[in-house]
Amino acid sequence: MTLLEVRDLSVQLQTKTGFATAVDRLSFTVNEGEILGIAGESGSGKTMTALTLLGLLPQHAKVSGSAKFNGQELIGLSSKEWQKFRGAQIAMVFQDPMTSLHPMLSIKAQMTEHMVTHLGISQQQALVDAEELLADVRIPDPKKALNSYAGQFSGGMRQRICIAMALACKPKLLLADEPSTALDVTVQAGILTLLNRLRKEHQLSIIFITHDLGVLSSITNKLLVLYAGREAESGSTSTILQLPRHPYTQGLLDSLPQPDSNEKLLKSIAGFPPELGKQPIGCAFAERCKFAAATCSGDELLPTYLADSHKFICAVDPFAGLSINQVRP
Amino acid sequence: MKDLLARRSSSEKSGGLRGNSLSTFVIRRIAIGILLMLGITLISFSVTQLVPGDPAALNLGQSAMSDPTIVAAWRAKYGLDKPVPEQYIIYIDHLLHGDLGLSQQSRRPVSSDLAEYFPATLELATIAIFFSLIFGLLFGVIAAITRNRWPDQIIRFVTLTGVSVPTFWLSLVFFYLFYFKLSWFPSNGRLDPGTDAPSTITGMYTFDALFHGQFNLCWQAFRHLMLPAIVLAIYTIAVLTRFTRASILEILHNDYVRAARAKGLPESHVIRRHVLRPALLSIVTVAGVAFGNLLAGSVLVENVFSWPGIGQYAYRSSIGLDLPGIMGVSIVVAGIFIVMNLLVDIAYRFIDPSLRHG
Repeated sequence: MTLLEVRDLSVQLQTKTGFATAVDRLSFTVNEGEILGIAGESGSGKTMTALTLLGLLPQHAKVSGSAKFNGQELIGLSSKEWQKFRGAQIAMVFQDPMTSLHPMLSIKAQMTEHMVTHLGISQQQALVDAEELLADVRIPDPKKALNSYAGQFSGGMRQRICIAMALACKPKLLLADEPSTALDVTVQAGILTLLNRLRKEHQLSIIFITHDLGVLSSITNKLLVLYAGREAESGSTSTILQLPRHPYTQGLLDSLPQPDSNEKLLKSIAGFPPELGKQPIGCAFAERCKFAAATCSGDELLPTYLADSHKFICAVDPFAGLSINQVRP
Repeated sequence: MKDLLARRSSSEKSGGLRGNSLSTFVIRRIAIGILLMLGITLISFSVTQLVPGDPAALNLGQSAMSDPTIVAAWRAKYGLDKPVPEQYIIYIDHLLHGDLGLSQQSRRPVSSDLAEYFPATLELATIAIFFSLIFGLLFGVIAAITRNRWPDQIIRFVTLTGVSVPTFWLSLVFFYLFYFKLSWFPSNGRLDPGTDAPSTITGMYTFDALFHGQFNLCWQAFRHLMLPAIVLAIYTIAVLTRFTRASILEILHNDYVRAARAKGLPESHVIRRHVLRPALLSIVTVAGVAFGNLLAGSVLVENVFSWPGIGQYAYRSSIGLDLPGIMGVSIVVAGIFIVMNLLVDIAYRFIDPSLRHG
């Protein structure tokens, strides 16, 4: 069943020179119990998309389009109405666990405050539940942890606490914004395993945001690749990773370090994404793309739909009809 | 200033405060404070020696000055005939016995002068800092949450005026307007002319009168306090407002505030619990310094309102090169700042409980 349905979502942010489009007509859906991965470089609009779904965009940002959560339209809610969704129905885990926990409030205070607000339970009950939640995310000695402060935990432990906090009010959708990027690789794996287990046990849907396709491949069902605020390619994770059709997705995959490669240098995509507000009409990736042709710029490009809801937006389609061995020898 | 404060609080967080019990922390700080006071006596003693001018000439009349035996006798009475290092050692020896010497101006022990003048200032400064904290915090929070909208603009205009207007000018204007023209407040001094002061317990008239059940006297003393206290508070309110606004806006940028909002907490709860507490760390630091400044005497305001406080005493002592008086004031002022710093540091531990967990 569809939990979240986003249609033509656009976000414009106020800059010194006027409004700049940060998210450009995005559409995607998230089904119950599904993990959608959103991939892209920094500035591609991943985080802005997540913040839109929580109503936490900066003041003066303009939002258009539609985002229906369980059939209820989110865009245009008042701040009072947003408060009922945030934390209760849709929760978020942020990138940097070192800064997203309050340094001066005890874990106890931070774990229970929104439980009391949203669930209407007593502080005592909230404490009992909080202890269980901490145990569930494998925090050793949860009772002691509740009376501690953020500064007493390592990064990985703090992120586990953030996850427990996000799940405290049993939300249906979890927005995970690069939750493992700031952590060591071994700790990262632990967080991914934890999220996957919690998804199953809590019937949770997750939007997992990262620039790391390697991470996304291991836990997501569906992928959405963003470039400069626009969709480049989307579809099921296995299809896209096997045979990407957009040169940008291909570039991201090529940029992953290959342990068995003989090459001395890591591959990367040359150039930089366009600045906010300076995206060209047509394909924003064209100027970095080695397959770029005259048809790439000037006009709005139309998406190409393939089987298995695989979709991409590229005028050249250089990988059409090729098999995986031809694309990635 | 802000840099300095930031550095100060971060260094205290990383080292000094962490993992100590409150009592060892306080004892250590008091010991350091005593050493500091000793250093301050040395510096102020040396500085008063460097100032050109002859205390005898300033304190004795013309005819007395022309008689060398009288001058010599006067110098001998105040120990000024001895070499300077010896004078200092004698002074410290007396100080350790609680004797601050005789004032050459009032011809009374400096300690009894201070005991009379200091409570007057303490009373004034306490009322002033009380107003300042209430209104400074209130306006600062309003300005921060209505950032760049009209309440913020108005508060910015008013506080900018508040910090820019010279306090002595404001004192004169207030005195003229609210006493002379409108008669809303009583005249100069601590009490109406001819009124007896309440018998001394603390030296603060409002408190002493209240203690003796003299409610009318208490009210009278309070009314006399109001005008100078308001004038003093205006500047401090302006400073605290601007500082509160700035530190709240800085805290609002933190990830943990966004995380708190993402939990669906009401905005008022986010401000009260997640923003104000960390902002208080720097606000308390500024308030401590401000209170110290108020206590150290606001010479001009005390002069305009004929307030017999430490500021007036300091002014009179320095005009008369009254060495024991100057030294006495220096020691009191140094003590005030040392105590204020200690109180601020203790307040840190209550505002930020994570400091108490190692």
